[in-house]
Amino acid sequence: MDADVLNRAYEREKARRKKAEALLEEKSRELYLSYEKLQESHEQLQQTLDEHNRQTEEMTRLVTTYTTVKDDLEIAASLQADLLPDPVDTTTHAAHGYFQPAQFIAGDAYDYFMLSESVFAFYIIDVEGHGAASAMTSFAVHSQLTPKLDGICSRNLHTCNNHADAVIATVNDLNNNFYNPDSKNKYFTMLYGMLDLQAGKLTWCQAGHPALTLYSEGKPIELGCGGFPVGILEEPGFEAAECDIKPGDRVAIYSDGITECYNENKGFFGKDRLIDILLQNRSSEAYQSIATVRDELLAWNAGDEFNDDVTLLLIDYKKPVDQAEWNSVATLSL
Amino acid sequence: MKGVVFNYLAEMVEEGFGLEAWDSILQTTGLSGNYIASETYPDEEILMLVDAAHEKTGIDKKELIRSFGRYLLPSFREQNPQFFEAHTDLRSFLLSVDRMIHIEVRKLHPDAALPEFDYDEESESELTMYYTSPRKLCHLAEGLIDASAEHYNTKYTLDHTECMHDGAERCTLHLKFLD
Repeated sequence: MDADVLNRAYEREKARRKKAEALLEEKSRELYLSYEKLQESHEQLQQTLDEHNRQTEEMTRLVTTYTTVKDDLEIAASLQADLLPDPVDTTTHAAHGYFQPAQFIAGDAYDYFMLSESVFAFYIIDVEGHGAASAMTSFAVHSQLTPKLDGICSRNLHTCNNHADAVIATVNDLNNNFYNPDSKNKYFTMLYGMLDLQAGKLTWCQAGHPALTLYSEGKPIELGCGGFPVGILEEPGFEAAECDIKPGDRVAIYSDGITECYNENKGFFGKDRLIDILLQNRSSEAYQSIATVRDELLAWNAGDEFNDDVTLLLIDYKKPVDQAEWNSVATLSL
Repeated sequence: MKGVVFNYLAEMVEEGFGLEAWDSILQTTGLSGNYIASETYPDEEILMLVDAAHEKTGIDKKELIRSFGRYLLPSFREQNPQFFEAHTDLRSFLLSVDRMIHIEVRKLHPDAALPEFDYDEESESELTMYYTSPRKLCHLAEGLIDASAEHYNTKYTLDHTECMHDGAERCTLHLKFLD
C-alpha cells in the first residue's frame, strides 16, 4: 500500500481523535456547568422546602393558637352576653337593648337596674377600640357599677344631695379609678343616667358619648351636654343634665357603632337615619323598634361583621310609680 | 447529516474497495474526512462523497446508495434492537418507521433532519410508502427496506413508481409481500 495513503489515513484519524477529544472536553465542561447549576437549583429547592416546612409548622402553631383563642373568646362572649340585663316591661317603665359585638367580645356594654323604689338607673359605655382589651375594660366598668348596696351607684345616690350630683359623682369615681397616665388603660365614653319614676325627671351625665334622644309628644329631641371621655383627664369636670319626662315618652341611647356603620360605598348609617327610624316606629313596642333598627343596620352594613360594636338602648316611661306596684317592679327588675 | 453516517460510508468503502479508494475519494472531493459521530455536517458532503465513489468504482450512484442502505441497517439494528424486536414481520416494521422510530429518534436528537413517510395500507400483502426528504435519498430507503426484508426473512417486490429525482413531489415505493 502507498505510504502516502497510510500517512494521510493516520493524519485523518489523528485529527479526528483530536477533534473528538476537544469535543469531549467541551461537553465535559458543559456537563460540569450543568451539574453546578443543578447543584445550585437543588440547594435553592432545599431552602425553599425548608422555608415551606417552617411556614407550615408556623401555620400549624398559629391555627392551634387561633383555635384556643377562638374557643376562649367564644366563652368570653357568652359570659359577656350573660352580663347584659334581660328586657324589663313593667307598668311604670320598660327597657330593651340591642347589642352586637364587632368581634366575639365587645368594648360596648349597657345595664339598667333599680337603685331605689323609684329610681331606675341605666348606663351605656363604649371603650375605645373593640376586641379583647376593650372588653376587659368593659368588664371592669360593669363590675364597679353593679347595683350592690355598697357599690358606687348606690353610695352616691344616698350620699349626694340630688340626682345631678349623684350621676356626676359616679362618673367621677369611675374616672378616678381608670385615669392613670402611666399605664395603658383604655378610656371610654359613657352615658350614665337616672330616671325618677315618681317625679318624672331624667338626670344624666354624658362623658363623651353620643347625646340621648328623647321622643316626647311625637318629636325627637337630642339632649346632650358633651363632656370628656372617662379616663382621659385627671379632672374632666363632668356635668349633669336634667329634663322632665312625661308618661309615654321614650329615651334612646346608642353607641357610635350604629351611626358610623358604613355601607359598600363607605357611607355612614348616620344619626339622622337612626333618629328617623325610631320616630317612624315610635308607636311600636321598644323591642319591635329595636328589631327594625337591627334589620336596617344589617341591610346597610357592608360586610358580614360590623366594623365597630353596636349598642342601642330604649327606655319607655309609662307612668309614675306608686308604692302598691313597687313589689312587682322590684321583682322584675333586680 | 450526522457524522456517524459518514463514518459508516467510509467503513463500507474501505471494506469493499480498500483504504486507497476512500483516500482517493477524499482527495477528489477535498473533504477532510474527520467526522465525529455525534456532530452534524452539511448534506452536500455526503452527495459529494457518493459522486466521487461513483467515479472511483464505476458503480451506478443509485445502486451505490442502495448498497449503503443495506450496509447501514445491521448497525442500526445492533444499536436499537428494541425497534426490530417489537415486530415480527416486515410490513409492521415499515409502518413503525415514521410512526414510532422517527419519534423516538427526535427525542434523542431534536436537530435530526429525518425523512417523512406516508403510507397507504392497501392490504396485508401490499403497502405503499411515500418518501419525502430534501436530501432525496430514496435509494438509501430502498437499501434499508431490502436489508429489513432480509432480517424478517421476507420476499417482496418494490416498484419505485414515482421519484423526486424525476420531478415528483414525493417518491412512491409500492411493496408487495410474497410470503
